[in-house]
Amino acid sequence: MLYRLKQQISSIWLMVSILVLSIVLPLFSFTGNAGAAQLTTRSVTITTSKPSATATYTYAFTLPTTGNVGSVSFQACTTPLGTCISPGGTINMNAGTSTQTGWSSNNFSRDSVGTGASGNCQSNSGSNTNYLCIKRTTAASETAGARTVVAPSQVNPTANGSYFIRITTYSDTAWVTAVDSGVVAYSITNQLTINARIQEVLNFCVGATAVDDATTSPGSDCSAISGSTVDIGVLDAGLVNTSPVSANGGSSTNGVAMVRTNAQSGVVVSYFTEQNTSSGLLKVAGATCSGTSTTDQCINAPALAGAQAVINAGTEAFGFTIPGVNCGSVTSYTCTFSSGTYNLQRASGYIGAAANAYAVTNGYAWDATGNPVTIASSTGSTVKAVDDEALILKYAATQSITTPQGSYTVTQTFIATATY
Amino acid sequence: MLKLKPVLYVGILYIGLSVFGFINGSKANAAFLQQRTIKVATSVASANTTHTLSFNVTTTNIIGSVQFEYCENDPIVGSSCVAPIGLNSGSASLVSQTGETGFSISVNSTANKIILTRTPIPTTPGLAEYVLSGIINPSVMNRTTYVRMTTYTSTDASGTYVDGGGAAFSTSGNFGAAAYVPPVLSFCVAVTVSTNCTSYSGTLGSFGELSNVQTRSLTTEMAAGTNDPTGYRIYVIGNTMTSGNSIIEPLSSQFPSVAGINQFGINLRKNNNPSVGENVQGSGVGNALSGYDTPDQYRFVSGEAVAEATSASDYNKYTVSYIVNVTPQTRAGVYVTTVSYMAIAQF
Repeated sequence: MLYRLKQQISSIWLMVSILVLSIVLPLFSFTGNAGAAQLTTRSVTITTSKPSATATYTYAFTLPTTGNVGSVSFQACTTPLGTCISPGGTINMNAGTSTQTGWSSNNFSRDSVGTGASGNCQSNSGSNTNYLCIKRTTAASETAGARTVVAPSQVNPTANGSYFIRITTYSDTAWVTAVDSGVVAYSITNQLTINARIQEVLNFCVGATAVDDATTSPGSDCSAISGSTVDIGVLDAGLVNTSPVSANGGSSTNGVAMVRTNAQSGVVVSYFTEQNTSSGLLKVAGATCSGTSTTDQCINAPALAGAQAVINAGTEAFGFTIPGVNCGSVTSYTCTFSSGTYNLQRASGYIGAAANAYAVTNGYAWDATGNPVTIASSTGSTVKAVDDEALILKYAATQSITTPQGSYTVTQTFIATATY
Repeated sequence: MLKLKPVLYVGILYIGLSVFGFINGSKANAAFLQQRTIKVATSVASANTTHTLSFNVTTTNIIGSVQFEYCENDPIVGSSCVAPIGLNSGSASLVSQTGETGFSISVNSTANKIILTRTPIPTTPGLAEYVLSGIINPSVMNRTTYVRMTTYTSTDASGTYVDGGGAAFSTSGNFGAAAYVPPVLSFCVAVTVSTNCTSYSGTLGSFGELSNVQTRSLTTEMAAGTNDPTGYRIYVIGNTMTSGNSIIEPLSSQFPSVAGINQFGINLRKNNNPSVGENVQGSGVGNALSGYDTPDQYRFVSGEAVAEATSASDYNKYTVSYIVNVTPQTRAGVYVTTVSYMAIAQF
C-alpha cells in the first residue's frame, strides 16, 4: 500500500510538474532548438549605417560548446524572435566573400543557394537577400571560444530602423542540425551631416599713421586705423617735402591702407582722385589746372599720364608711392617685406624701390584723371588671402618758385575689390 | 533543459544623426556661383554710385531671375538679412548686362534687394555681369557690406534658389592730402650768384687803379624769382664813388662810357664799350628796365628800379656792369661806394 501511495505521489508530482511546466513554459520564449546553446559575447559591427549603402558586417561571438560546426547562417529580420520578416528594400546579405578568424580552420565559404534538407538557411519563399549562408566542405570540430566572421559587400536595408540578425551554427554542412544560436542587432539611420560656412571676409580701411617702415604695426586691425588726412606742411622750392612731415604744419603721418580678406581669387586695391573743377591734382579748391603750368594754383603730377618719376626740389610736383608692405599686423602666416614674403603685391608705378627695400628711390606717381588705378593686388600671388597687410602711403611735394601761394588739397578714394 | 531568454538581444548599436549647421532654403545640390565680385565705382559712404556685380555660372539650369540682396550682417544665403544702414537700391537702373542677359529690374525689388527678371531660359556656363547705377552706398564709413547673389527658376526670385554665393565691399577709403604754398620772393645779391640763389659769394668788388685814359669796369650779380602774380621790382640804392670830398659824378642819364671824364654808371646788359657784363639770364620773365637796359649806355640814379618781372617769374640772373672814368685832374685817393639792391613783391 505504501508502494502504491508512493507511486500515486510520484504521479501527482509528475502531473504537477507537467502542469507547472505547461503553465510556466508559455511565459518564456525560445529561440532555436530546445537543445542549442547561446552564442555569447556576440556583436555585429557594420562599417556604415547609411540606408542602402554597401557595408562590411563583422560578426563576433563566442562558441559556448565544443563540437562540430559545418555551417553557419545569418538571417536578418525585423524582430529578434518569431516569424522572420526581412527588413526588405535594398538589403542583400547574400554577397561577398567572407573571411573568418578564430576557427579551427577558417574555411567557410558563402553558399548563394543555402538550402539544406530543411531549408534552414534560406526562406521557403526563395528570397535570399536577408540571408548569409556559409558552410564548410566538411564539418570540423570547434572548441568553445571567440570567433569572427567578416562579411563584405553587404547592402543595408532601405528603411531606417533597428534590425536583428539571427546567427545559428550547425554541426553539419547543410544547416540542418543547429548547435548554438544568438541574435545581434543593428540600426540603419540617417547620416550625420555637419555643415559649416566660412563667410566671405573683406575688411578694408584707409587712415593716417606715424609708422614709416614695414615692420611696426600701424594697428592690430582696421578697428585701430583712423585719420583721414596727411598734411605735408609748408612747401619750399628748395626742398621736397616727404611724409611724414613734422615741421611747418606737417601732420607727421603717412597714409596707410590695410586689407584683410579670404577671397579665393584675391583682392585688388585701387584709387581714384576726386575731381574738383575737372581736375584731380593737389590744388587750391576751385582753381583751374592745365596739368603743366607752374603758375596755376595746382601742383602738377610728377610725370604725364600718371607715370612714376623722381621729384626734384624746385620743380613743382606732387605724388605718392608705396615704399613697403607693412607686415606688422599679420598673424596667420609668415609675412616679411624685406624677404618678399607677402601676398599684397604693389602695382607697377607705385613701387617705392626695387628689391623689397623700404625706400622711395623709384619716385612718385599721381593719376589726376579720376579713373581708378590699381596700386596693389593679391590676385597674382600664390596665396591670395590677405591678413591685415598694410600699404604704407608716402606723399611728397615741392613747389616751383612760381607756384602760387595758397592751401592745396586733394582727395583720394580707395577701393578694395575682392573676388570670391 | 529549460532556459530563459530575454526578448531582445542588443549587440553594437550604430547610430547616425542628421544635423544641419544652418537652416537655409537651399537644395541639397545648389552650387556656389564662382568668381563672385562686386565692384563699386566709389566707396564713399552715402554716395550715389554704380555697382558692378558679376559671377561665373558653372551649371546649366532654367533661370528666370537673379537676386542681389545687400546685408550688413553676413553673406550667408538663407539666413536673416539686416539691411545696411543708408543703402538704397530702390532707384537702381540696369545699365548693362553680359553673359546671362535679357533681364530687367523687377517691380518686386526693394531698397536692399535687386531682383532681375526675365522669361526663364537655360543658362550657359560663363561670366555674367550686371552694371547697376543709381545705388546709394551705405552711410556708415569703414563698414563691410555683403551682397548675397542667388539665381532662381522663377521670375520673381521666389522658391528655392538654384545657385548662390556672397560677395563683399567696404565703404572705407576716402583720404585727403594737404599742403601749403607760402608767398615767395627769392632774391640774392653777391659778386657771383647761382641762378636759383642756392649759392652766392663775394661782397666786394674792386676797379683797381682808376685811369683817365681807360675805362675801369666790374660786375656783380643778382637773381630773383617770385610766385607773386604781379611780379617784383628791383631797385638800386646807393651813392656814387667818393673819396672824402672828391666825387666821381654819377651819370644821371644814359650816356656812353668816355675815358678822361668823370663818370660812374651801371647797366644790366652785355656791353662792348667796355667789354663787360651779360644780358639777363634764366627762364623767368624778368628784364632790365629802361635806363639800364641799353648796351654801352650807363646810368646811376639811386632809388630807381633797374629790373622787374611783371608776373610770377622763375629765376632770372642779372649781371650789373659798373663803369668808372676819371679826368686827369681827378684827385688821388681811394674812392669807394656801397650799393644796395632791394627786391619788392606785392602779394
